[in-house]
Amino acid sequence: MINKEEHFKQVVEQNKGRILRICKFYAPSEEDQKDMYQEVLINIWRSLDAFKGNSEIGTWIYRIAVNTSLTFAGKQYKRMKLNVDIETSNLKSILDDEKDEIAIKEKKLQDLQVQLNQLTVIDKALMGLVLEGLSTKEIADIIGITEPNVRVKIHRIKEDLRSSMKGGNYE
Amino acid sequence: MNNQPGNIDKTKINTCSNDDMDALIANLKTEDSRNLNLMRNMKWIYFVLLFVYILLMVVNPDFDLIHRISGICYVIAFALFALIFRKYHREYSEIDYSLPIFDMLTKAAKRYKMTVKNILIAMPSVILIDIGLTLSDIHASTENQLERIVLIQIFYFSAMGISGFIGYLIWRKRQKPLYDGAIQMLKDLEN
Repeated sequence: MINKEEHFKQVVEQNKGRILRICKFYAPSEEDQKDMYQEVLINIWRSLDAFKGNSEIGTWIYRIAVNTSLTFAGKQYKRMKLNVDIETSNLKSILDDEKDEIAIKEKKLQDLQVQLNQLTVIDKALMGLVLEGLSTKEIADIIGITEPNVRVKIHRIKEDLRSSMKGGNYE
Repeated sequence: MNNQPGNIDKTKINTCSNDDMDALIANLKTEDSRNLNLMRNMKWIYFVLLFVYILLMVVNPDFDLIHRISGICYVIAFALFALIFRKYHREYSEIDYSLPIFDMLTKAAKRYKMTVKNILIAMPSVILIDIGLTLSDIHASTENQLERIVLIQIFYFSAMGISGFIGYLIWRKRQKPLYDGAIQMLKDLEN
C-alpha cells in the first residue's frame, strides 16, 4: 500500500500534461501559469485523501484543474483568458464544419483568440475541455450538467464563433 | 494581450522538477500538520478554559447567585462562539476542488452569501454576553439600576452594531465579488 506522498507523485507524473495544458489555457501569463500549476498541485494534495476512485482519475484531475482556474483569478475571474496557439491540439474541433478549409493561419488564429476571449467564463472553461479532446460525456461529468446540455452549449458556442469568424477579413 | 499565438515557450513553464516536487510536498505536509495542530490546540484551549470557568463557578466561595448566573452566561456564550468558529473554519478549510464544477460553484455561492441566518447564529452568544455584563454591572451598584441597564444596552449594542457594520463592509469588499461571480457562472451553466 503506497503512502500519500508516493500516490501524489504518481498522480502528478501521470497527469502533468493535462495540468500544464489547463494552466496554459487559462492563466494570462507565464508567471500566472506557474502559480496556477502550484495551486492545482496543492488542491490535488488536499483532495487526494477523499478520492475514492468513483470517477476516472483524468476526470478528477480536470475538475480540480478547472475549479482551481475558476477560483484562481478570484475577483478578477472575468479577466480569465482562454489562450490557444498554433500548437494547440484539437483546434479543429472548434471549427468542426467539414466544409471549412482548416488551414489555420496566424491571422485566423489571432481572431479566434479574440473571439474565444469574448466568451463567458463558463463557456471558456467548456471550450478548454473541448480543446482537450474530451467527449461530451466526460465534459458533462466534469462540469456537473447533463450531456444534452453540454452538447447544446458547445454547438451554440461553435456557431457563435463561426459566425463571428465569418465576419473577418479572411472569409 | 500577453500571449500571442505561438510565442509561449513551454520549456519555461515550471514543470516542478523532482527537487521542487519534494519541496512542495514538504511544505504541504507542514501546512497540513500546522492546520491540524491549530485546530487541536484551539479545541484544547477552549476545553481547558471551559473547565476552569466551570470549576471556578463550582468552588467559588462567593455564593452570590447573580454572579454565578453572569458567569454561566459568559461560559455558554464562549462555548457557542467556539462552535461557530469551528463550523466556519471547517467550511473554509475543507473546500473540495474535486467536485463537479456546478456543485463547487453552488457551494461557493452558499459559502460566500451573507444571510440572515449567518447573523442570527451569533445572536444567542451576543445576548448571553449582554445578560452577563448587565447582571455583573447592576449587581455591583444599587443606585439608578434602570438607568445603568439602559446605558449598558446602548453602549453594548452600539459596539455590536459598529462591529457588525465593519463585518458587512469586509464581506462586501472580499466575499461579495466571489459570491456574484459564482452566481453569474451558475446562471451561465443553467442557460
